[in-house]
Amino acid sequence: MKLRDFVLRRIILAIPVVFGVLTITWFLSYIVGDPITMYITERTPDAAIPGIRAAHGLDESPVVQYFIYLSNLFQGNWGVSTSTGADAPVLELLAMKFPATIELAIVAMIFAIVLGIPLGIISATKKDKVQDHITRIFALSGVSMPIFWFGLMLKYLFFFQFSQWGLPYLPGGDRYNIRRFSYEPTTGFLLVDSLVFEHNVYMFTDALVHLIMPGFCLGYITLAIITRMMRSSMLEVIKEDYITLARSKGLTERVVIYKHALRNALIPTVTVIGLAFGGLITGAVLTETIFNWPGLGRWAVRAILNADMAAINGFTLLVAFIFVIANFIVDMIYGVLDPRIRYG
Amino acid sequence: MESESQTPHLQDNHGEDENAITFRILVIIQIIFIMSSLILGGIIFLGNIAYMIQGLMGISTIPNELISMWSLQGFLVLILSILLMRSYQGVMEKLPDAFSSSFYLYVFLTVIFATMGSFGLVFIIVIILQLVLIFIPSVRILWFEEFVEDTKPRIKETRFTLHLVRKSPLVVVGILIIVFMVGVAFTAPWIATYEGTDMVFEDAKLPPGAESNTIKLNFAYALDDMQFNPDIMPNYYYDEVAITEDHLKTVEIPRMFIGVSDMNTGFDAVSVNITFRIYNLNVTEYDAMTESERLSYLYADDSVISNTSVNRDNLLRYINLNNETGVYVWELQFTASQKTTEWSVNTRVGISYYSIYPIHIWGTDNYGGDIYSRIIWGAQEDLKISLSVVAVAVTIGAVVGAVSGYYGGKFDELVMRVTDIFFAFPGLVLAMAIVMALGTRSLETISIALMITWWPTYARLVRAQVLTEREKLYIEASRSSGASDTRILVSHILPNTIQPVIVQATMDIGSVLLVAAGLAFIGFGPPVGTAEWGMMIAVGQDYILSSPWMTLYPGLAILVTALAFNLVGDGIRDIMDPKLRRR
Repeated sequence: MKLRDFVLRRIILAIPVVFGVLTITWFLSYIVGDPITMYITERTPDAAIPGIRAAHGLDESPVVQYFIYLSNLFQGNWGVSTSTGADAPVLELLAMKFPATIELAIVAMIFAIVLGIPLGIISATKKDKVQDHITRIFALSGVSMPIFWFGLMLKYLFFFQFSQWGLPYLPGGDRYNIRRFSYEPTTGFLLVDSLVFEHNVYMFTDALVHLIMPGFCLGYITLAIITRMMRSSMLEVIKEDYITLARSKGLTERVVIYKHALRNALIPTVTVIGLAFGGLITGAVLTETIFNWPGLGRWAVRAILNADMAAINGFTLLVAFIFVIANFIVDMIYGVLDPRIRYG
Repeated sequence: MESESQTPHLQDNHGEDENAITFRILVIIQIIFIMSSLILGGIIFLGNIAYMIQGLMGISTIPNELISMWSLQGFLVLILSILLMRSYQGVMEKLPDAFSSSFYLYVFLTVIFATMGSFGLVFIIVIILQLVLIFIPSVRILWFEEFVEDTKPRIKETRFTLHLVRKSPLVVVGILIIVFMVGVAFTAPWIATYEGTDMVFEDAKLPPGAESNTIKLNFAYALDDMQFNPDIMPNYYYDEVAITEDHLKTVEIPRMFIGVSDMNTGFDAVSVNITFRIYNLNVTEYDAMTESERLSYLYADDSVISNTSVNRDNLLRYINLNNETGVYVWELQFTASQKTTEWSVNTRVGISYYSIYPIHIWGTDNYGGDIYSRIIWGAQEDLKISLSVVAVAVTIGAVVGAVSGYYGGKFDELVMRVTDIFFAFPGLVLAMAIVMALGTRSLETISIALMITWWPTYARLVRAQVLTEREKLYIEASRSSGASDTRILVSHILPNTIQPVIVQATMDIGSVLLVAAGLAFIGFGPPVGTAEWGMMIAVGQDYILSSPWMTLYPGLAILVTALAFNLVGDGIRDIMDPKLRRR
């Protein structure tokens, strides 16, 4: 199979998944709440409601409603969110909130990779020694902690207690210091905007400081996953014959591990990193709520608490698409890296 | 099945009669057991479907019954009994490997019955009886030699695994913590100082180690909600009450409480004299005396005449007792002028006394609930949720994955697309949507939502395993010797795919805890006040600055428990991994 055919096959396989996701979100919103609430307020006169219902096709049979929903989605009409004060189109809100979340996710990912890969290597090379045990406990704690609890505890210690003790403390919420700076989004990525468009280094560093705690909190889970994957793939690679050969050639342990073993051990880890990116978005729902981060997650939680179905659907769809795309990209990378998969 | 030469030769002729008799008993028990299992499973399963139909029609208000544990259990019982029947045919045909597969089924059935209450208890006893019967020497001859031959390498491998487990400290620590946590969950009634639902409002937000601000009013009843009716001519009850140190822990005076409320419906117009007396005597002295002698030791008394047609007086009184240890006898008499059949009363007799609330070891929450006790009660709830979710998800996933992996084709393609869709949703968001769709917020709803979210993982896992296992030589061999598809799947492929599933399941027990806690945090948890760890954190976050212990301890409980399961799962994966195991 050529690479082009492989890509095509993957795209075709992704289509039913996307439709499945669309169907499930529609079905859930259909049984959970009456979609009419999107279009009316308390001030809407009762007499006008049947008219509104008919105008949006909500008096049709479920099947017809489903197709109306689909056609609306494809025309970019994702409904109106009612939970954010002023009513705004969901698609617009998603575009507005998305950069903050992605920025947080990227920082979290950097934390996870920078810490996770060395930890994985240490843990594998010192297998069953004290270093290995400590690293494993540290890494496994990441997948054993409720992320919001970890965030709360970080915030309590580094923000509240440190400020009580008069130590330099980390900010406990928000993307930047609201009292010192005013921010008009251009791209929405604060780090990029402050440096490239506003040429404000103070704002850039302020934004960085604000990212430390939520970024670490969010990255901890991924760190655990990366460390674990790195460890097991490293352990496998170390036992290969070519590593023994490299050792017997008289190369130092350092060169053997970092030049020969690491490259091959990284392949599965890269896949895991790709897949974990989708998981970061879910983690963001909880982290953003704790750290008052004006991103998708906090918006989604507010929507959930107010039973704002259009917003919930929009969020779910977006996250699902991110998952599908991440899977797709990982598949592609895998296909390129390992030709056997293409022919399988 | 296997050829005739492979079946065991029976030792000699004189043993055969004996074998036959024991074997016949075994067969009869087996038949009874399987028939009743089938009937029980069928009743539960069909009953729940009936419930659901009623629910949809609006007759009954329990529409969620179908997807609850019960109907699933009924279904499982049905399937397992049918499989047991088939594998038992193998036992009767004296095939050595039939024993091991029916043994696994027995274990599964025991696990299911263990959760089914009194019905289950009967069945567990039957299972144990069968296992004992199988090990009776004359029956054992039928399968034991082959079984030992069969399991020798397996036992060796298990020994080696145990050796590796013992050598890895993290797994040992993990297992110890799990055992500890399960122990805590089971002994909760004895080690928790408060009930899971107790709230002492005066004690809200007390720091760890604080004493309670208030004292507790207790009632110890001698007669509680007793309904006396007919045939009251003279009718009388007496008993001893002892005032011990327990009743005198505070300055407040213990009191005797008597409450007799007339429940008469008014048909039998008769006047009944109710007399209540307390004597300064112990019960042996009381028995030895005549009525008039007793009266000189009278401590307090009260009486009322209840007459339906004229008045309906209730006797309700607190009588203060001396503030020192001692023994009293109380006596309650109903005297009527004639026999009465309709007259009835609701009676309570008891001591009310004050005691000191236990210390709040880990502080209290905003409603005055004791954190320490609630964490202990929460261990029960949380372990129940995660174990049931993982058990159900593994079962569904294993069945779906095995079938789709083994048979392939259209069904396989369909299953894989469905799991793709499930994977496209982040677990938390999907679970949240399902809880929202199910409507009610309770521990059961959360469990159901998590079961629906979790099964695809196992379906994928088992399918992948079955795909690799299917092509192996020993499957080919058993197929060519005429084994049926079900038999190959159940007794050859599934036992060989179970290992990664166990690892994944162990680690998922921890993850379920986390997702359940996450659900509680964003407002989809059980009702406020439920002793559940996630809910406790969710409530505590609002008070994080003033009382951080409200979030700290439940979070630590989740961390420790989930970490233990993860350590064990991770360690087992290392130990079981054939690539790392030897060399």
